[in-house]
Amino acid sequence: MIRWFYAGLLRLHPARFRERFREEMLWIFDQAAADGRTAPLFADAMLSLWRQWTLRPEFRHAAANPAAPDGVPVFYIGGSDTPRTSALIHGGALSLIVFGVVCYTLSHSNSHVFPLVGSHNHSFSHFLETHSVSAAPTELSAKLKVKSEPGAYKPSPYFRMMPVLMALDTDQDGIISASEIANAAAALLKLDKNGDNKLSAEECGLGIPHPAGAALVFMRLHPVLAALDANHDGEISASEILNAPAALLTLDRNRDGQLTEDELRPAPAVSSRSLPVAARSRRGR
Amino acid sequence: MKDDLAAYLPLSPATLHILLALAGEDLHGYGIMQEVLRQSEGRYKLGPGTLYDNIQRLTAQGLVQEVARRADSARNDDPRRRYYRLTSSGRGVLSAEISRLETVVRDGKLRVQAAKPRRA
Repeated sequence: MIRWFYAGLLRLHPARFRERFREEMLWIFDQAAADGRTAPLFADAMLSLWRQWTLRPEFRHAAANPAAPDGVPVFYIGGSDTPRTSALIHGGALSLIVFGVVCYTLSHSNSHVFPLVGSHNHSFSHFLETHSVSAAPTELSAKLKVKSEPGAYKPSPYFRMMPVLMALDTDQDGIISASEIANAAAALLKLDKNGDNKLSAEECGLGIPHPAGAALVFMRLHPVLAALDANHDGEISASEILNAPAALLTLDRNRDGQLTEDELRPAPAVSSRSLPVAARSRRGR
Repeated sequence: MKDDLAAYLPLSPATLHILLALAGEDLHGYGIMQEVLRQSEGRYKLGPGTLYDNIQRLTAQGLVQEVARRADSARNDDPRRRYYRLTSSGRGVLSAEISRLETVVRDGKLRVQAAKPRRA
């Protein structure tokens, strides 16, 4: 520890002095430490530090003086000004850690500050913060919907578990759009396997066999089925199928004219307890 | 030549002791410190910072030079050691300083003797 501190003092000396004499001074320190007389060396190192930086400016940038021991020329190679490889590695690792911490902080911050540079939409990828929007949102209302590549979208587990949702989402993009809501009746009728113009709980995805009363629970549990089964009798009748567009729009909480999965899934407190039952019954089919 | 040497005089105590230590043989830094301590009978302790500050200056002036390690100590020598040798210029400066000191001492003795109160 004492040696480490002494070496630290030597590292504070000007580079040229340090490169030339550091190892020798450390060796002398080791000799003195063996005799238990290191305290005077610290005072000497402090004095030397002050002396080299204040009284010896001519040696800080002077060219090295080549010595010629025993008539043999010796060439002194000065230290490079470029950083050492180890310093670059340390710097790179430190930068990555800082970058990771900043990204983590931004992505997990509760008090979201939405930066806005170069686009109207809020994004974490922008660096500068702005609190004033120069353009009104209505001026930038144009939207471009890009159709996903065939097979690129994979329905979420909840959509796969619910045949009604798979039938309604005809373009398989995970969103029940306004046009899909408008055509909901036709889409629902495709699930009518027995041709009775109404959909039973089994046709809506309830697994067989299932305990008594499970159909009612199943139809009330899932918001989309509860909305379609307006009279809550456990099946979606022909009139309820015809009224499906209006019933589905009651689920549109943000009133954007379409239904996303967060509007279609059961509330978390309910789903965590009841969804496995439906999933188990479906697996048992 | 004498005028050139006179530019280095008078020498500081540390410089004088270092040149005196190197006058006998080539020494490494720790050896110089030990020799200075011996010469001054333990009264003058030279720290590494002071020593290498003087070595830096003396090598730049050409009075001391770094040399390859001695053949007799090369085997068991610590690789961190560097040996230093007095150059001919350094020897000349040391001689000039000793001559100056001799003059100072002689003159001082004369003055002290002259100032002694005569016995009545």
